[in-house]
Amino acid sequence: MATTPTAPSPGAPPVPAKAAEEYRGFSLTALAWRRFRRHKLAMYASVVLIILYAAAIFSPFLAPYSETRSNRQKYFHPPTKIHFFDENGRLTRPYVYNYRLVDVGRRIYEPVTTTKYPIKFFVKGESYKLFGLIEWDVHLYGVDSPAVIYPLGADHLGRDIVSRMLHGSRKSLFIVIPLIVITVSIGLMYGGISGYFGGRTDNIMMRIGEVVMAVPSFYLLIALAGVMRDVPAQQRFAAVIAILGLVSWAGFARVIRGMVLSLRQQEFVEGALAIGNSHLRTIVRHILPNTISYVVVSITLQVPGFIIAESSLSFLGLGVQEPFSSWGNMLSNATDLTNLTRYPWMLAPGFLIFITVLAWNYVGDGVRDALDPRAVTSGEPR
Amino acid sequence: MKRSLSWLMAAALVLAFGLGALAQPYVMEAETIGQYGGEIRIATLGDPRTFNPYLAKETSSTDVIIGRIFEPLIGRNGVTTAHEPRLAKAWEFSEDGTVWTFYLREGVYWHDGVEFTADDVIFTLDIIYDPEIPNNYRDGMLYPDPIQYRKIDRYTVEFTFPMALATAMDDVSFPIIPKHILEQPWKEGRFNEMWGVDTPPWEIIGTGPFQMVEYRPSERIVMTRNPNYWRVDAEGNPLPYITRFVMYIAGNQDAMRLMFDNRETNIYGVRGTEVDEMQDNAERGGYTIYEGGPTFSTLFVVFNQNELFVPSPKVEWFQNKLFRQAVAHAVDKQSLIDIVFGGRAVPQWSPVSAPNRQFLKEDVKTYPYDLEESRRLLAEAGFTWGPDGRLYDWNGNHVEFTLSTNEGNLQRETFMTLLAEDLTELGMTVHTNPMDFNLLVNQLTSGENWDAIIIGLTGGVDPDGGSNVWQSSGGLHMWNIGRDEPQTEWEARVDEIFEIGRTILDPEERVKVYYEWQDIIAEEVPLIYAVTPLVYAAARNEIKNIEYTAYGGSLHNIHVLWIDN
Amino acid sequence: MHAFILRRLLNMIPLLIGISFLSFSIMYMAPGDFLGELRLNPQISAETIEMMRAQYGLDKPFIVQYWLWFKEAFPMPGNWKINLGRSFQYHTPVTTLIGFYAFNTFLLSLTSAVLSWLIAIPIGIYAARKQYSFGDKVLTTLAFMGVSIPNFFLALIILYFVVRWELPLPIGGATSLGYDELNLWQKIVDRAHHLIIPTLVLTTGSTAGLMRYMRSNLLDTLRQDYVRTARAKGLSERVVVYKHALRNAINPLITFFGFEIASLLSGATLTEFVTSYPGLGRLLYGGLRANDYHLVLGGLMVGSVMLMLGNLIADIMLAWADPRIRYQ
Repeated sequence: MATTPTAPSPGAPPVPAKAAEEYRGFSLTALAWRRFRRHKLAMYASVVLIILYAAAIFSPFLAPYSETRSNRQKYFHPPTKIHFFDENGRLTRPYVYNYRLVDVGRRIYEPVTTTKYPIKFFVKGESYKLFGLIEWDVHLYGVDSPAVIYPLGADHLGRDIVSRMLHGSRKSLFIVIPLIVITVSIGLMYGGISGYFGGRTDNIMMRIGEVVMAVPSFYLLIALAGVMRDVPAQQRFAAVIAILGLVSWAGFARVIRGMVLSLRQQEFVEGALAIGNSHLRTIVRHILPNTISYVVVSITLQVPGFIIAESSLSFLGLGVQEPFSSWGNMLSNATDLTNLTRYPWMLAPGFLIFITVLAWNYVGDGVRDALDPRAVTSGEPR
Repeated sequence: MKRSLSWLMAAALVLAFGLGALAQPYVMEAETIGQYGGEIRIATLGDPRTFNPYLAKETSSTDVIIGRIFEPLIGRNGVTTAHEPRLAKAWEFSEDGTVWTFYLREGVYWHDGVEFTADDVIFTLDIIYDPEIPNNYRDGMLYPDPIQYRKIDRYTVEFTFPMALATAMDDVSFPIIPKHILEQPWKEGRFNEMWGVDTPPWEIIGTGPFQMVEYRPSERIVMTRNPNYWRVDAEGNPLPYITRFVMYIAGNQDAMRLMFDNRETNIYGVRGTEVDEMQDNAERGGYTIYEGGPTFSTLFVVFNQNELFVPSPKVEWFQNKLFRQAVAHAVDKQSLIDIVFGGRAVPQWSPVSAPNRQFLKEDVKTYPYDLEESRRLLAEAGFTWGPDGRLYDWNGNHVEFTLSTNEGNLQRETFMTLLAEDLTELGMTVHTNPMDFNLLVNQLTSGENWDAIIIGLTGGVDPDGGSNVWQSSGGLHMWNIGRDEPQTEWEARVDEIFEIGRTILDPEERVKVYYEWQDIIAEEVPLIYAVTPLVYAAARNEIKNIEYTAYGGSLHNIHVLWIDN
Repeated sequence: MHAFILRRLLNMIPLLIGISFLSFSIMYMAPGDFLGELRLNPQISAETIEMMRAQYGLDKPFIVQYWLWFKEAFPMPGNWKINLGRSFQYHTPVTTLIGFYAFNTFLLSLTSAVLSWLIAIPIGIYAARKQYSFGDKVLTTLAFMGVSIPNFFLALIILYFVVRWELPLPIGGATSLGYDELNLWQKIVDRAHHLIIPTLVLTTGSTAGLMRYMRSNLLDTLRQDYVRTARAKGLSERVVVYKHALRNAINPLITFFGFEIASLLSGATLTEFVTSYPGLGRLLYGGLRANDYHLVLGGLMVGSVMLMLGNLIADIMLAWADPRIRYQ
């Protein structure tokens, strides 16, 4: 579980001097963007991420069913076959058949080929709130009852895997945003104050940080998750965010502190103080902005760790709880090897985690190359 | 009363003299006479926490040691569930049923060669009643005064109960531990540290058919045959037949299945959903699947009826019998059976588990899945539906509550989901809440912070074992916990039934008393039962003499199991 | 140097006390206790449960509980043993339990660490020397995939194929029945056989990460002035790479070596869990689920010590490998 940030040597110049000379005349952002665009894989990865995140935002619309809607006739339903050709081999409007459970003990389903159910688009279904605001009941696709469309099959309660993955993606993907906010704000303030004041304050604050860092992060994670066990399922997601946030700030704060320690010596700090800025204002307005490129690089590199950590916790049953879905807790149903071999479609969320993390890794790589070309590329073994 | 006493006494005396006439070793009947050698290998879930029977509190510990290493004076037959002699070869009791004399089997030796005597029995009782040693047996042996016990001679002990007790024979089925090994540490105050999992396994000394030789944490426990064991087969050959008994410790059910498929184990407890599929492969895999019928385990939903903990108006709904009956009609047992057990389970209606033929009343009131009937009952109780289809009570409050269960348990989570859906269909708002097991139990047993909980208990043969649940003062009287007095008339009657029931010695009369209790519970539904799974085991064809039952499992007669090469 | 090591070791003491206090507070906040299973047992009365709670000191205020644990866990006058407290479930010292499992975990982590270094370093060098070649691209892509696949998911996939194709690999366990009767060589083979699946899982991620790191370090070094000088002097490419650049490129890896030591006991939890390997992670996860918080606490302490030792060893090695680094 890589929640330890890759640490460039403390006090490394935040703005790469050499690179800045080469591209004199460009703003820093434009410059970084130029370099980022050159990293082709990072560009592709960004597109993938944009698609994934857009899908997550529109998930209630894209998913034909709601997150918790079960169907007691369709448990472990195999992926619904979508037919594009009719019995005579002619291209036709895509349709599906309804499936019937023919063997309870062996859980074998067979399509009932008497009635075709064409796939319809923009169908009315269960109502939901888009963006949590707009009440709507139109779904991108669906079929008429009693048939169901489960492109990736169903789980043990007859819930559509695709719908649950889409709904789950809101948690699995967006967990990074509050986490970034928490880590960056705590890390910057803590590291900033510690480095700025130095001396005894620094000493005490860093010892506290060390205590947090000296506990192996995954152990700390599961111990903290144990504390949060009495949080009801509805609020579990917030608890997971809190847990991951508590574990991830310390390493980041330490590096910031190192950078601030050296920035503190520079003249502009004295200048800022001389014109009457308070200490806090000096830290926030003058010193911390200098760490921006490190912060951006470090954060993009931490994101994959956050995503994996959430899915691991949920996988262990310590994170997002039934009946709500996250990619990790959906996978925990696949640990049952009998289920795994009989219903391999239950592994699907794992591939999504993999793709997301891969994309984030490429983007992180690109961002680092763009902002900090002298930094070594892609470290951090797990 | 008197008649029944003498009847039982006669039976006991016949037993005593009948056995006295036999040779000291105990003959164990079996279908075939076996050959020596081979091993039985099973897989089990979870590590033992201790090898000390009086510290062991969980099945992962007791399954290892009880019956294999340590034995009681009296046990129950794994097939008939009748009492049969173990370390006591016979027993008798006084006219008033309070003084019991146990005649111990002579020539039984501990694994280290020391003879088992009355001193060991007395020592074991000393341990049970030692307040410094919290154990699973003491509470069941306080009435509320303890048993008076004394040694009469080397092979005879006498127990004096404060009253006549129908459950006496179950109560004295505690495992006997060796005085010559544990007395010294006990006197030094170290009993609670003895025989932990770090003890060299061969130092765990019992009288049982097996002796432990290896324990590898999270891997396996290996036991070898006790060559001096007291049971013999019909031809007088010493038992057990097998040389080794191995328990693999698996992390989960799948690992157990894989071990069986890989032939690492030769007996496996089959889940209902696997039965058909394994049956298809039985020939290729060289095994047979045995059916043991329904188990003793239960699954139910309970509503918190205690107004000290549940605010109005919720508590009034939960206290309303018609409301509970309406919920009972909303339990879709068939779907639960199909989804979770692959069709291999039966509905449960009575608080007595299905395999308990002796006490089960077959014709108690039932509540078939019928939402229309639920609606009718709710209407009868005074509930109404608003224009939005939501359910309101007689004061216009919307019916809304939380339904909890412990996370990670497929049966319970599925039951929770199905029930919540059906209750939503009836217009209620149900918040489902899967939670940590320990936390759930803390809430359940303290009465605080819960509305409705889905959980299960494992029952025994004698209903009196459940008195803690059914009697109002019991610590597991879940729906109305922490009450000294019964809160309703029917609970008062149930209290009486249990008080009377445990003192009736005539079996038939006793059963009748418990019939009434079953009718009351089925009518009042404080616990709404769901289903009882059927149990199955797969065993390799070369294992002979298997007599698989839900009560005894596949290993109750491990002594006579043998491997046919 | 000696003074430095001594000071670092002494520094660990207050840090450990801090960690134990932090961890104890965390565990104390955890709701419920380990007696849930007992409360559901109809044979046991509420009074007995209360008595057990008292026996384990669970009815005492937080600070008293901490002190009771601390007194037992650490060496004190009259009792010089470190036992990290007594497990609620097992009634045995936590150190004994950890001892049971530590070797298995250690063996697993060490095997995969050694393997990943053996694989990753040469591949990393190859990829750096042949930068942008087809081989480099394939390897870099694989490495990216390797670091992106969560361990538990990889384990599930591997298990899926093992079952599907009926591969003759043991699932779960670290030794076979009759292990004790085997001779040394057979024992090694048996252990190795059981290690295949979990090692494969663990090695994939760490090899990938290490290889990427090695490659970029070497590339970075090869761009340095002194390498240019060496090349200009007419030294063969071989000498330039292996004699000059490599030494400096490997130095930063030493920090990771420290991490590697730190994670020897704590880095395999999920893998152990999914592959049913009898390691520390499973013990501690079980302890956590059962609310046996002395056990969990012990695990946290051991993990922390390993982490600190790992960092210390890395620092020492760094000083030894790079004469520019001096510690006072």
